[in-house]
Amino acid sequence: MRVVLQQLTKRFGAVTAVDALDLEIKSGEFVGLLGPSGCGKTTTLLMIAGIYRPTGGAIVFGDHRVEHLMPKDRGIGMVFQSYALYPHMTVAQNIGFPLAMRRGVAGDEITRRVREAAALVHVDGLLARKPAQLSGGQQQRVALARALVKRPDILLLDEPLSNLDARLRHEMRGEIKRLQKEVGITAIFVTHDQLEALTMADRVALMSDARLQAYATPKELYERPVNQFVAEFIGSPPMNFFAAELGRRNGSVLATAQGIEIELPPARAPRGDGQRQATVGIRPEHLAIVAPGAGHANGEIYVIEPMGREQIVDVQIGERRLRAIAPPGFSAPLGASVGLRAAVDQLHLFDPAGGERLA
Amino acid sequence: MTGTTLPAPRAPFRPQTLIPYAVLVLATLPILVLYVWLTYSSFFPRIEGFRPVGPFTLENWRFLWDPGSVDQLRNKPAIIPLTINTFLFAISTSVVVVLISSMAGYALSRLPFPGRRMFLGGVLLLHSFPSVTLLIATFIVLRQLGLYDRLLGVILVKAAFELPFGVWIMKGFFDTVPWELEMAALVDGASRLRTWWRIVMPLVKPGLLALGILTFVQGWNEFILPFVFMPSGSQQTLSTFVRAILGEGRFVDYGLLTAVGLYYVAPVLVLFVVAQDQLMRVYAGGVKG
Amino acid sequence: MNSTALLFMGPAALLVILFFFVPVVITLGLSLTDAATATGLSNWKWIGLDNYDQIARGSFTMLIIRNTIFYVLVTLAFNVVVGLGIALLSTHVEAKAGGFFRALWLLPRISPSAVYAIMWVWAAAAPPFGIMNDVLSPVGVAPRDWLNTDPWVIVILVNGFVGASLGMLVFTSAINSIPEDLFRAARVDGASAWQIVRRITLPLIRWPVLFVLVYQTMSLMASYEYILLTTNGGPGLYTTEVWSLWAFHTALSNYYGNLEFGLGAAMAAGLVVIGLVVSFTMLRLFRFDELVSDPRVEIT
Ligand SMILES: Nc1ncnc2c1ncn2[C@@H]1O[C@H](COP(=O)(O)OP(=O)(O)OP(=O)(O)O)[C@@H](O)[C@H]1O
Ligand SMILES: [Mg+2]
Repeated sequence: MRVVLQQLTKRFGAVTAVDALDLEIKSGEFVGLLGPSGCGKTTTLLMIAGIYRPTGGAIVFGDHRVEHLMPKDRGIGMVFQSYALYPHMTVAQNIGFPLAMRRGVAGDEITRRVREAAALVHVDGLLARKPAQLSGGQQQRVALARALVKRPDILLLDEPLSNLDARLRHEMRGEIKRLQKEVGITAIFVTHDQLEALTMADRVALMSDARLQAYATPKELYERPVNQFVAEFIGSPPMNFFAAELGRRNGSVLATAQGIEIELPPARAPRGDGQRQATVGIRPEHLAIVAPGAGHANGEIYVIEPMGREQIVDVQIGERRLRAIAPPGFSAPLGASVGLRAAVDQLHLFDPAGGERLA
Repeated sequence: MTGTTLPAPRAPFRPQTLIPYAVLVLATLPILVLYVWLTYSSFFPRIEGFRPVGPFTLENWRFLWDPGSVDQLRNKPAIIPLTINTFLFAISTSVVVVLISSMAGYALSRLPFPGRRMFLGGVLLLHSFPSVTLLIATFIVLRQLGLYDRLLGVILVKAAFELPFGVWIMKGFFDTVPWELEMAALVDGASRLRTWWRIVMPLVKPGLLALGILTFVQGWNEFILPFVFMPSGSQQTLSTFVRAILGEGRFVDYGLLTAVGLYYVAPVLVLFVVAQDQLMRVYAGGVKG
Repeated sequence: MNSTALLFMGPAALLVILFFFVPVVITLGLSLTDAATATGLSNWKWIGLDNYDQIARGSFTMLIIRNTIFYVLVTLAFNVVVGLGIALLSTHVEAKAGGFFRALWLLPRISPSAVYAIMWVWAAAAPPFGIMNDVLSPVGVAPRDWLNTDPWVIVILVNGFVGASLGMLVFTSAINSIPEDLFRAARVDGASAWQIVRRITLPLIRWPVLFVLVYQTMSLMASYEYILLTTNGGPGLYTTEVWSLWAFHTALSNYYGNLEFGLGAAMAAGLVVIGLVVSFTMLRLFRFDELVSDPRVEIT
């Protein structure tokens, strides 16, 4: 089912938790709500679920506005960050609870559907246990089964993976994505982990300070961030930024800063002549370490952090430091002089004033 | 260095460490002696100070099986109906308080409604307010309601007086239930009423039990309310019965009195030993005792 | 107010209205009437402040005020000092032992007042019966019939041993909530046990102490149950009668058979007003900050 948020706003007293949020989620789409802590993700989800009343704006499911509906009448299933399994009920009773709350679902049908839902998430062997006797990953699966058992139109997940260890998180990431596609359900999940959002979601809504910053596919977010906040938030290690002067030489645009000079390809240069200053962004993976003088900038090695698959190298250039990624074989003493070469077609230019993308 | 071959240092015994125990024992002795003496006295025909006069006997306990032969009990209600009365009073008070407190405590902990802060303030205010000062007016209210001299009336008054404490304690217990559980139940299709009954109430069971036991004990012990509001003999409770024997004047049969007293206090002592942890928790949670 | 909240709050609100609000109003109203069993309950009339006037002129009023002040102050001192002592000692010793002693101190509070009173009356009985004489004569106290010769001693002991447990409980939980590291640090710094109590524990529990002082003062002023059960204000005329017991005797239980509701209500009205003012102050002072958080589910 399609979900549309229009100018959705929530204030708690003086705090604006969600500010005029516009979002359209297509039927069957899997959308990640990403943003730093406190930016209003959970609040948005709880408004969709019907736990919070919006201060303003509209929530549309399909073709109907639902702000006035109780949670139970909205056709949603939800998985909470703490899983919120009912501690006094067995796994079977937990999964069956949403059905038991409905009028006219017969006992044997409940049993059958509980089994079905449990099998879907591979917890059919645990039905007699109490939540306290389950591991974190198993609790998570039970919570998923409980959210899905009544065959809701929309699935909401609040930080579904944040309580799991790194290994399980990786496993469940794939699992949830598979389930969502298999069931074909419209789903929204909240996370503050960009890797989770980028790997799982069809589209990512990036929020900060109660506002929507970007809404795009992971690929677009990574390749063409619409503003500096998005560019900085997406990608790990984060993008390098430096302030540069824009000038012209031989018909092409030149970005210069202390110790750095880069000729911009036409596709990455701002249109027109008006712009004299820009914040240039370049991802560490798009900076290569070369011999001194062979790149766009020269500097000394400040520190090297081996990460296994690759190494993160910080290079001091005058006052500033840029971060680059080097292959595992790379090695150099600290303080060694090196050059840095940027993949020029991967440069991003932002307006120093508002942070909007220039090109 | 080979530290392991050195002899382990032994902490020297310091007699000062026993001083706090000694002081505690000494200070607590009067209480202990009172209870031991109550028990002891009930099994001898006569006690002078620490010296029993006469042999061990069950004479004093005759009121249980042969009340007719006890002079002091002529014209007094029989012990079994009295006990039942007292039990009914205590259990009803307890049930009423637990039920009403857990409803109001839930609302105050969880439901948004206008005036919630004011209600919370009111509960706390009443919680420390000395309700015995209202007895005279309560007498008038009960008469107007036609509940004077009836068990139901005393139950309601007692429940009302215990209510602020109960509501406050239950609110405290509800506050500890995670919000997400309640949100989950609402999303799963439960109404607020069902969420309370099916999800939240089972999670505060220890609290319900503790409050239930405590108010049962308070009801079982209550003296002033039945004394004032239930004067007719047939409706007496054990407390007014004990007081009636005690109030007979100078020729009190202390053997009988201590036996009846022990009979009366025994269930409380048993409950206290069994449910001490819960009781201590509630006592410490709400300041009023 | 929506229906769910009304459903949940309703029964409690009803009881509170019936047995708190209405009685407060009735107490104040009744104190302006001459209602008594002598006038008949339906034949009363408004008499303005006559009852208050009568109390002010009463020949026993001063005696009873003196009694009340004496009783409250001495019992309060006993309650708080002993409560504090037991709390400090029982948290100082082994946890299990401490819990055991605290449980013993709770016994008087959880026992029926009637039984607890019997125990004291029996212990204080005249020679040769009471054990108090047996205990005290070796230390040079002449045997006596305590309830007749020294009724105040008994009244204060009875109330003192019950009331101490309140302070004990409050102080114990306050002491237990002091971070253990503070005590460890002090011990490392070489403080003695007494210095720790003096410099760390007491300053940190001053609010609970103040709370118990205020709360206990108020409940002692209002309570009379144990006096009623031991001396009943006697021996003789008003020897141990305190204000609240006086109101009770006047309006609800006396030997003359004339229950003077109006006069008794006037006596109680003072206590009711004090109770309201003190409770309100305590609410502001001690607890209101706990109330501020709003519900996180906005629907009912
Ligand atoms: N019930 C509430 N009352 C008052 N303020 C609230 C309430 N719930 C949330 N807020 C505030 O609204 C803002 C957004 O909160 P929200 O829980 O939606 O953040 P979040 O994006 O989910 O953060 P996190 O990643 O830490 O969970 C925060 O500033 C928070 O303090
Ligand atoms: Mg959140």
